[in-house]
Amino acid sequence: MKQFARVVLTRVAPPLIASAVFVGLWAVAIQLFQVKSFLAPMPGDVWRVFVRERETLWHACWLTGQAAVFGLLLSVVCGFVVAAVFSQSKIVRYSLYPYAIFLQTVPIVAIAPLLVMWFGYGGSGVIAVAFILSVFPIIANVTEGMTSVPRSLHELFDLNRASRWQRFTKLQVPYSLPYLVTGVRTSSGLSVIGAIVGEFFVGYGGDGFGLGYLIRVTAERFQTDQLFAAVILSTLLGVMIFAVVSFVAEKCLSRFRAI
Amino acid sequence: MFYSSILARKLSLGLMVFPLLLGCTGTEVPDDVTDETITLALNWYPDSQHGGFYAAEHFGFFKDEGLQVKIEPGGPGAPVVQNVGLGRVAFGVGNADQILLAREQQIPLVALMASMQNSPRCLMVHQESGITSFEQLKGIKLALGAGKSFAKFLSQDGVLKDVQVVPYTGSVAPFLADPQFGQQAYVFSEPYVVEQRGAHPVCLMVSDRGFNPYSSILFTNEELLQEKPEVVAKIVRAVRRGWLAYLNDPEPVNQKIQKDNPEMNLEALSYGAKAIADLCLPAALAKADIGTMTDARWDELKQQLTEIELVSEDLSPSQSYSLQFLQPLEASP
Amino acid sequence: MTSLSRRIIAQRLGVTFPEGQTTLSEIDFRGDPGEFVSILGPSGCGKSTFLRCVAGLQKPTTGSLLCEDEEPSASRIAFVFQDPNLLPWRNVHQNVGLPLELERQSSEQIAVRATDAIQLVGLEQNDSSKLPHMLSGGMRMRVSLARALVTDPHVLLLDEPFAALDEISRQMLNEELLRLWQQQGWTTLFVTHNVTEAVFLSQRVIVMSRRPATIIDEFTIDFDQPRDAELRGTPAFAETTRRVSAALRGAMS
Repeated sequence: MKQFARVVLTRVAPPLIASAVFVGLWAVAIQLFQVKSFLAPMPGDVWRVFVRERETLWHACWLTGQAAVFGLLLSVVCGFVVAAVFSQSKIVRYSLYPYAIFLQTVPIVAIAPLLVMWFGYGGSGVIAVAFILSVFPIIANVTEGMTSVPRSLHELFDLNRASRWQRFTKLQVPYSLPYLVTGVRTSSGLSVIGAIVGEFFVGYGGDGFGLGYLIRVTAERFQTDQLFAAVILSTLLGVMIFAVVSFVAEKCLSRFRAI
Repeated sequence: MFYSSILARKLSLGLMVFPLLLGCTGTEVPDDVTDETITLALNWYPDSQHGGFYAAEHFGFFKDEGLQVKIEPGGPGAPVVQNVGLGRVAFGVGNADQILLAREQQIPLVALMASMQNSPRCLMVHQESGITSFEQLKGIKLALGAGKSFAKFLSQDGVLKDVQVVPYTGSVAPFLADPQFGQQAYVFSEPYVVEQRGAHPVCLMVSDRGFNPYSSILFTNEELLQEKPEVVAKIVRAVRRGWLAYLNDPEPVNQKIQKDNPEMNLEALSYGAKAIADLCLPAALAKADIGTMTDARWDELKQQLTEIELVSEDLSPSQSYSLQFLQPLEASP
Repeated sequence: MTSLSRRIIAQRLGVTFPEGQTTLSEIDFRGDPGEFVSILGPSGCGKSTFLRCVAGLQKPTTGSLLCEDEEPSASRIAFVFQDPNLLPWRNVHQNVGLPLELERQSSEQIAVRATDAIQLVGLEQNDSSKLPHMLSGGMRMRVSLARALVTDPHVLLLDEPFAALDEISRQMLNEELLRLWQQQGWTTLFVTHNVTEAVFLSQRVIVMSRRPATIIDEFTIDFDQPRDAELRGTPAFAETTRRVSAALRGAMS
């Protein structure tokens, strides 16, 4: 019980209090500067939208969240494999790393038609965009981890005449796990952005209305309170995925740290 | 770690909005309406749907009224409605459904004249698809912009139930690549573009289904209308004369349009000018009545939007437009 | 656990790094089976480089190095680094068992031998499941030593292993190391800065010069075995230490 109280006090309460303060300041600022409601809604209006449209919002959150999570998982798996390959050969790394950077920097607008051609309209296209936006931090971080194992640990393996595979699985992979966690933390937010952007270009078809679609529609109709609700929900989705990732990471990394 | 990132996200959301807050200081007369330049913001890249505005500038009709007007091109995401609503810009261009949707959100816009009596909105499909009417729409992908009123209207109308609706990204490339692909279009624009690329487009006019909002409306802020009605009157008069002049002689004006939008070619603009002629001046309308609007049309639109749940029952359309500047035009001096 | 210790012979060994510095020059060295030899010298003179050559981690540029008339790679050579060099994600037992794992021994074998090695260096069984960050510096060193010993090596090399520890821990570990050496009898090369440590542990102490290093002095230490803590207080010990220190001082100038 005491443990639970501690968790609530240190982890849950501070962000809630910060949010409450922020919401308060928000309301005050709108009144103070006489901001028109079509530019920025009062917190109360946004709350009303959450209550009134909760089914639509929940459904949208669920769709976008699924795409984001699948995109993220795909990023972790593929990113890890690519990093593994990069870590084993300088030549491969030097030749192909720029393409990994390309994934990071290419504007989705430019490759959206290609993605639609390969994956069609629908969930797989959205997941593809989420993947593309979130894979690079994984590749970059894990490659860094695998290639920055200290010389002395490598020598330990040299002395014992370890094979390449043994060195990879018993040294480089475990060593790179904290780096993987850093990468996944970064990618968790990006995967949500990716899912939303993906929805702009690919959509789900039929009655699949994700958060990206809601953002587009409500902006088109000047429904700023609903727009804010969708945007806030997108932020919360990103935060939630980040929180889950952090929680899992802490469990895995407890072996590495003195916490 | 965990909570500091939430805080960071909240802060960044706040930081994003702060500049917006700084920019809006309550209701005031638009600050650009003085004896200096008045801004007229277009809703898209300049093309034939803006012909009358450019004609008014080209033929000196604004100058005749003693006014200096700057036409500001628009584009995707241009916040014309918000800018006029906040009084940052004096005049804007948009469609009637947008005006009512804005009013629903308490944006104080007033429509002044309708360049096009009939809506140019259509669905464009390939001849090869064999589709010649709305009832025949099936088995294709249809690209529609998210949240568009006409799209919701058609959906409610039941004609979209057998098509796969996909996002419209502003490019005709997917249309050109696939004969089983259709998209939203304006009758004076995209059909010409795709024809030049070898396609055989078929246009299904949305107005044929009964959804026919006034288009290329000139609108302003309620406050400006109250404070400076004489300026508004002059602008409306100049624009109406501009439209008559454009329909009469589009070529010189098209050159002006092309200057502001180099992507357009003159042939496309010529085609466009011809195509919108009956939309602006249908046979039944006298030239002197160009730009006119009726209560009945606005009521009908409001009714339609209420039925598809885009505006509330108690929205009063009469506040959204003004007929006071739409007397028959005198013959040009 | 028996070990077949091996002889080490270096002839005219030299190491020049690609950047140009000649670190070792014309080293002639002989370590007999079961002998405990310490190597002293100024900082950075190349004692570690020599040790790494013996370990097979550094290829000599000139000369030869043989372990029982074969290449060093044919022998089991254990190395204890200055830093314990433990894998932070493995517990004590898993760290100690690593060399056997890399040799692909069966897990039953590994379990038995690791447990034995842990016991040998004076750690408790319930330390086995602890992670490195839970251990003190001295305990980590013991784990590092246990890992070195688990393969039953022919040759044991130690590169200033106790340098980072406090004086008492260092002395205690010296005594333990000596005790183990008496039991197991590996050929041992011990690099250190600490004259007292060198004299206490070794049968022979070698003093190296500054870079490019050569062997400038050699001392035979013939105190009786087994040696214990009290030896450090005796006048004979002090005298030997004095002589060796003088030689080292000479090497430094």
